[in-house]
Formats: sequence, structure tokens, C-alpha cells
Amino acid sequence: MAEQDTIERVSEIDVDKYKYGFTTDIESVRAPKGLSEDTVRFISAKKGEPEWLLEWRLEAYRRWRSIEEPTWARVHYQKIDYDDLYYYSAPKSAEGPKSLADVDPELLRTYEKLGIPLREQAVLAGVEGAEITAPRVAVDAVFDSVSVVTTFKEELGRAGVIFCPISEAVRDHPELVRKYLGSVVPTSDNYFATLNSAVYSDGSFVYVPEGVRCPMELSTYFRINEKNTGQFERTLIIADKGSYVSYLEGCTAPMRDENQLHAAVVELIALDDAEIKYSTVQNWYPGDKEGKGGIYNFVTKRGDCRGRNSKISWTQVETGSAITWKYPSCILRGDGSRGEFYSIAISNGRQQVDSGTKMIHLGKNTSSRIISKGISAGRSDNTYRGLVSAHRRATNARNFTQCDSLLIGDQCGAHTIPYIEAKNATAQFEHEATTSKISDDQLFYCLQRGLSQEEAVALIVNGFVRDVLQQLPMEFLAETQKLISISLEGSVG
Amino acid sequence: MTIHQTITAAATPAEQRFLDLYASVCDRLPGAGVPAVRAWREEALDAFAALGVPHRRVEAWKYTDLRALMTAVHPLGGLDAGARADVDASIGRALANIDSYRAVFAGGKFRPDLSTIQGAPGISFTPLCAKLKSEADAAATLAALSLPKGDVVAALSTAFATSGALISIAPGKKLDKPIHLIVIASCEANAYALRHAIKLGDGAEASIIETHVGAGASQAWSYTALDIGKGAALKHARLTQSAAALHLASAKVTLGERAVYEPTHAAIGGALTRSEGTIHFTGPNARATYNAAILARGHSHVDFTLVVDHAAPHCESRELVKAVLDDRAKGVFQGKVAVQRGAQKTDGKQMANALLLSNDAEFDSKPELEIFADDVVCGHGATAGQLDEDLMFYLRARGIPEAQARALLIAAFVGAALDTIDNEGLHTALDEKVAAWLAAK
Repeated sequence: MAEQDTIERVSEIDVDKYKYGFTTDIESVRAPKGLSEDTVRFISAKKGEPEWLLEWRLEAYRRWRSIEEPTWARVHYQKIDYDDLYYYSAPKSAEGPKSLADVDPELLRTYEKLGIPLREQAVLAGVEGAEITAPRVAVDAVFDSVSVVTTFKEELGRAGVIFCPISEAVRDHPELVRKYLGSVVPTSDNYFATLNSAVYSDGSFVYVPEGVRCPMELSTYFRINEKNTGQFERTLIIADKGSYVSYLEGCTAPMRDENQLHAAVVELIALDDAEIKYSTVQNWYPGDKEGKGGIYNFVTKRGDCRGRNSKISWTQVETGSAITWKYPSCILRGDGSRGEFYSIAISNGRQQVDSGTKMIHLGKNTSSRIISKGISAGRSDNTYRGLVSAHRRATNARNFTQCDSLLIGDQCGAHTIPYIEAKNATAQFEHEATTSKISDDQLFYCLQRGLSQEEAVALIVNGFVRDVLQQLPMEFLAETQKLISISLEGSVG
Repeated sequence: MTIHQTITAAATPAEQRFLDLYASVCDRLPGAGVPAVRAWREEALDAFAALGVPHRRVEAWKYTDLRALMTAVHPLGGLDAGARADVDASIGRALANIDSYRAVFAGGKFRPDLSTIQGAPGISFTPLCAKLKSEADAAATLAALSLPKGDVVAALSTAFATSGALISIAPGKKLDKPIHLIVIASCEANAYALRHAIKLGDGAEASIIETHVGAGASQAWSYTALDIGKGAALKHARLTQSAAALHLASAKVTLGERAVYEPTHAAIGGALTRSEGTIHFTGPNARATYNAAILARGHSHVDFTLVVDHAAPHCESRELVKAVLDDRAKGVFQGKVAVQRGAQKTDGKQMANALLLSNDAEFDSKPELEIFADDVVCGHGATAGQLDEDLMFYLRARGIPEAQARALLIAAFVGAALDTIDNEGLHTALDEKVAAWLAAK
């Protein structure tokens, strides 16, 4: 029984239940501490970037110096000293081009420990016969500031799909990068995106050519390892006309007493009839029970449905990070385009989550759907913040939004702040939100059937988030269900 | 509990206009010679200066950029002899005919000649200006008229108040007919500021109707403090109607244990109507049911902003907002339900529906939940859309002409918010207002 499995797993784990909290002892190369034009030049030089990209970074850097850190989100943290961070850190062995065979075994062991399959063969061959049909996933593994390896590149290449670290794409496909980089999230977008534009170090690049259905799931696994570093990755995914791609993203970090900054930018572009499905399981280190340590996850994710009848779908499971500040959005520019946002945000301990989405309807006959499930426990605060807007010319725009919050315990908070802007009579918007606790009746029913309190809560919570779980790719589903139970451990009773 | 944020700004021209206005009238305002009154006003003016004229970067005013919408401040009215006022003509015969204890404020002054509230049984009524004449009176009165924090409209209303209704209803008193507060901004070249305070004693029951009308491009700002005692019940209907006038109103309502508050709020037209309020639960088992209707066309801008603050357990709140927007009108509803730590068993529901009749109309809503207690049931909903084609077809198929079918559907849509009014005279009068608005197209 899946629930029983969960309970056993939970009970195996100690009070500090973050299981990815180990560190990898590996020699690394870092940029000098602090942020200046020299840091930006250092990173650009490390990547061997062309002049135009350096200029682009420097412009972002200068702008960043002139703007203020935003304070509107419902999160509280000590001011970040941006000059006390390392903006670039790479395992020494990971420098220069590499294949799987060249990767430092220590790194491979790290990913093995994290449960990320990097060995193509192992996955292909499987263990026993039944495993052969297991879905294959191409992985881009990003360790601190660099991508250490990307798997299945050749097989993807045969289908015409480009899947590589963005620094490699700058070198090999400059025309694509130059055309699309910053076209969805401009360097001037917001404080953290501007910072990212100046100092981003690596991330994934995906281009799916016209009419191609990407033959396997693509994924990136982000790992912060080094002390005092920030991770600034940049992901750019382009789905050309009539193509389809499903992309997964996972992330973890060691347990450290200090807070670490993760400021990423993700840009998605869907052209005519293309579809991008982007799923995230965010499990950064959330800090200990008293709120010490943990990742500040300040991320800008935005998709541009640029073409007719294009579709972008965001699915996120947010269980980690001390602070989450993240609003994956869709710009529905193409006529008939669709945007979707499915989210589970769980906060426990002293975590603070301020997350949601924006659906900006610009084209005609565009539609969007938002399903958000927030669960707060412990002393955490969980905020949904969303915007749905229809512009004057967006005739027949449709939106359906449902935001449900579940509170476990009386020391936490759940907040819903939606902005709904209809500037068009033909727009049809429906928004619904509820907040409740686990009903006593449901609990009683489960307990009466012999489930323990923890089992019952796990069952009910899994039921509460079911709508979103259904949107997750199979590979993530089982893991996510366990993650949910673990995140809520200690919050009952 | 308010959703205002403190903004600090140097005096821009927008603020300076108000500061200049104060400098020009401060020696002629009621109680100008009484130091306590002056101090009370200047404290409010300082609060205003610190807050500044709100603009779209101030979260609570995101959709109503007052700095852009209010480009001029008229000279203050209500300082000289009373202006002429005709209640029937101003508010309409149907409303004027409602049998009530009437308190009329025209041109910023209380009009005893037009009012009937004086000496009503169980009601103590005094115009504010009467209490500002002596140091002793003022000290006692003003102690109870504190300034809510972060409220620009309350600050302006206090600094410039020329009068206002101070009403107190004796504990246990059940009024036999409603109190009708009629506020007429009678000169279109003037601005008017009033500050009201209404108190219901424990167990009292009352119904208050407020009618606000403005001539031409007049400006009116007002602040009302409403205190509902334990077990008391108040029905509070409020109508704001003008063509081109600007109304800024703020109200802070405090409910004691077991109190019941049933406000109904309708705004018809107006260049700019911004009505913000806080309903604050201080004791358990109280209940508030807020209904609101917005009818706007032309370049009207109507903003209803409401914070329901559940600071006590076992309270219930309901909000229903219906907005009908035509032409280039803009409707705004910002509703926040806040549940404080410990306010268990709170039951809060909120619904905002907008009907957009034109492609240039706009409805912005921000239904917000802020919850710090786990054993609660809270929810909100918001919709925006156009008239249902199926319903239109149904009516047309039954031989009802298009214009009439449309009016019928719109009246029914708005009616959901107004039907809770049980005073027959008022109900009829509002129905007539809605019908007239529909017919005017």
C-alpha cells in the first residue's frame, strides 16, 4: 500500500528529514567573492562568450546596480549582502568539454545518491527485463555554476532536438540564443532577473525543431554544493512550430546554516501549434526547524505562447527552500493559445512561500487554467499571488482559477492574493478560492478504519492535491507523493 | 487592521494643493479658535502629509490612482452661510418620502430646518460643529474621534471637517423608523469634508440610510466611525449618486460580541467614487453581511475596497458585490478577509461578479484572504463576463424586445445585491434608480 510505504519511509527518517543534505567533497574553482563588473567579465570569460553577450550582461549589471530589491512579497528575510557571495563556482574537473566518461566519479556518485540516472547504459539496459520499458529521461546535470554532463545528446540529435548546457548553445547555436535569450524575460524585468542576466553561469538550452515530438522527457537537475555561493541558472526552451516537449526540473542542496541564494530565470517560447510542458519538483534545503539556513529561491519563470494555438503548461511541486518567490507565468500572445498552471506548495517549519502565476491574455480566443493547492503547517506562511488579465483586444479570453489552501496547526498562515483584471466584455473569468483545515469528519472516518493519525493525514493531503498530481509525469509521481508526506512530517498533533 | 501601507513622499503638487487649501481656511474652520480642535486637525493634516496622495504604486490604491484622477482640489465649502438646498430635487421624491428621522447636511453644514432627527426618542444627535465651540466640549468629543492609522481619506475628512453627524442610540433602544442621513454636496465648485461618528448601545436595533449626492463636479470626502455594541443590530444602506462628482469615503465599523451588521451599498455613476471600509470583529458570534452594487457608465470610476477583519472567533462574514459596467467605466472591488491568530471557527465568504456591457469597460478585482487560524472556512469567488446569450435568447424567444430583455437581466443581476433591503420605501426607491439608470442609455 502506497500510504503504508510513505509512513515507513517517514518513520525511518530522523527529525531533520531532509535527505539530500549531504555535501560532496570536491575541489572547485570560484570567482573572486563579491559582485562587480569584473565578476561579470570573469564569468563571461570562463564561458568563452562572444562580445555581444558580455555587453548584454554588463548592461544588466549596470541596471541592477541602479534598482532596488523588491519588498512587496509576503516574505521576511535579512537583507542579502550581495558582495559577500561567490557568483561562480565549478568543480575543477568539470572545466572544459566533456563526455560521461570524463566526469569525475565523485560527481557521478553524488548524482547516484540523489537518485538521478546519469549513465545512459544503465538506464537503457535496466536491471531486469521489465525495466527495459521504463521511460528514458535525458538529464542535464548542473552542479553549482556549471553543467557537468548532458545525457542522450546523440539520440536527441538524431531527432533534431538540441539539448545542451546554455553555455554550449551560445558557442554552437549563437543565432538561436541571440534571437530568443531575454525575449521573454528581458534584462530589465525585475531585480532578481536582472541580477541573473548579469551573472548567470549555466543552465539548459532546448530547441525542438518544427514538427518534432521530442522522443523522451528532458530534465535538468540542479545541485548547489559549494558554501557561500549563489546559483544563477538560465534555462531557455524553444518549441518550434508544431513540436512538443516535456521538461522536468529537480533541485536539492546541502544542509548549511547559512542562507544561499538561488536566482534563476526560465524562458519558454512556444511557436505555432507547439506545446511545452514544464514540471518542477523543487526540494531545495528548507532550513532547520528554527528556520536556520535554507535556500532563498527567487526565481523568474515565464512562458511566451508566441504562436497560434500554442500551449504552455507549468506544473510545480514546491516543498523546499526557506523562502520561495516564484511566479511561473504565461503570456498568451498567439490567438487560440492556452496556458496552464498546476501547483502544490507545501510549507512547514519556518518556511515562507509566496508563489503563484500570471496569465496575461493578449490574443483572441485564449484560455488559461490555474489550479493551486497550498498546504501550510508548522509556523510557516504560504501565499498564493496571482494575476489574470485580459487586454482590450483579447476577445473571448477564458480563465478558470481555483486556489485551495489547507492549514495544519494554528501557528501557520495561508494567504490568497489574486488580481483579476478584465478589460474586455467577452472575457470570461471565474475565480474560486477556499481555505480550510483537514475536516474532522474525514479524519474520523480514516481513523475509524484503523489508519493512524499520520497515515490519515497523508491520505487526505494526497487527496487534496490530487488534481495537480495528475498533471505530473509518471517518473515524478511516486517520488512526489512521498515528498509530500515527508514535508508534512511532525506537523500533526 | 487596514490594507494601507505607509508611504513617505515629499510634498508633490498633489499634496501641496491640500496643504495650501488648509492654510487658506484654517482660521475659518469650526473651532479655529479652540486649541484642542486645531491640534486635532493638524495631527490629521500631518498624517495626510506623511501618507501623501495615494497613487497606483500604493497597493491599496493600485486600481484607483488618486494622484492622476484628482488633478484639482476645489475651495472648501461649508464655511459661510448655508446654501440653498432642495432635498426632494437632490435625492428624488421616492427617497425623500421614506418615513425617517432625517439629518440633512447640505453644502457641508447641518440643516436643522430640513432635519427631523432632533429630539427623536432614544437618539442623541449633535452636529459635530456644535461640539467644537468650547475647549471643554471639544476635549470630551474629540477624545472619542481618534484618527485611524494610514487612512488618507479619514485624515483629510478630519483636517477639513466642517461638520458631521454625531449619533448615539441608547442601549436596548429599538428604533421605530430609520435614520436618514442625507448629504448634499450642493455647489459644484466646492469640496466638502464631513466626519461622522455613530454609536449603537448594547442591544440596540436601528436602520440607517445614507444618501450622498453631489452637484456637478463637486468633491466630497468623509469618514464615518461606526461602533456597534454587544448584541446590537444595524441595517445600513448607503447610496452614492452623482454624475460628475468625486466622492471619497472611508468607514471603520467595530462590532461587539453577537452584533449584527448588514450594510448594503450602491453606487450609481460619479466621476470617481472610492468607498473603503473596515469591518472589525472584536467579540465572538457577531455577523456581517455586506452587499454592494455598482452601476457605472461613461467615464465613471467606482472603487469599493473592504477589509473584513476577524479578530475574534466564531464570527461570520458574507460579501456580495455586483458590478455593471458600460462604456468606458471602470469598476474595482478589493476585498480582503483577514483572520487573526486565534479567530477560530471563522466563516467568511466573498463573491464579486461583474457584468461588462462594453468592450471598453473594465473590472479589476482583488479578493484577498489572509488567514492565521486553522479551524476556519473561508472562500472567495470572482467572475467577470458579459450578458449570457442563452438568457437573452430565452427572453427574446418569448417576444420580449432586446432592450427590455437586457434591462430585465441587468436588473436581476444587480437585484441580487439589493434585494436584502427590507425597508419597502427604500427598496422601491432603489429599484426606481436602477430602472432610471438603465433607461438613460
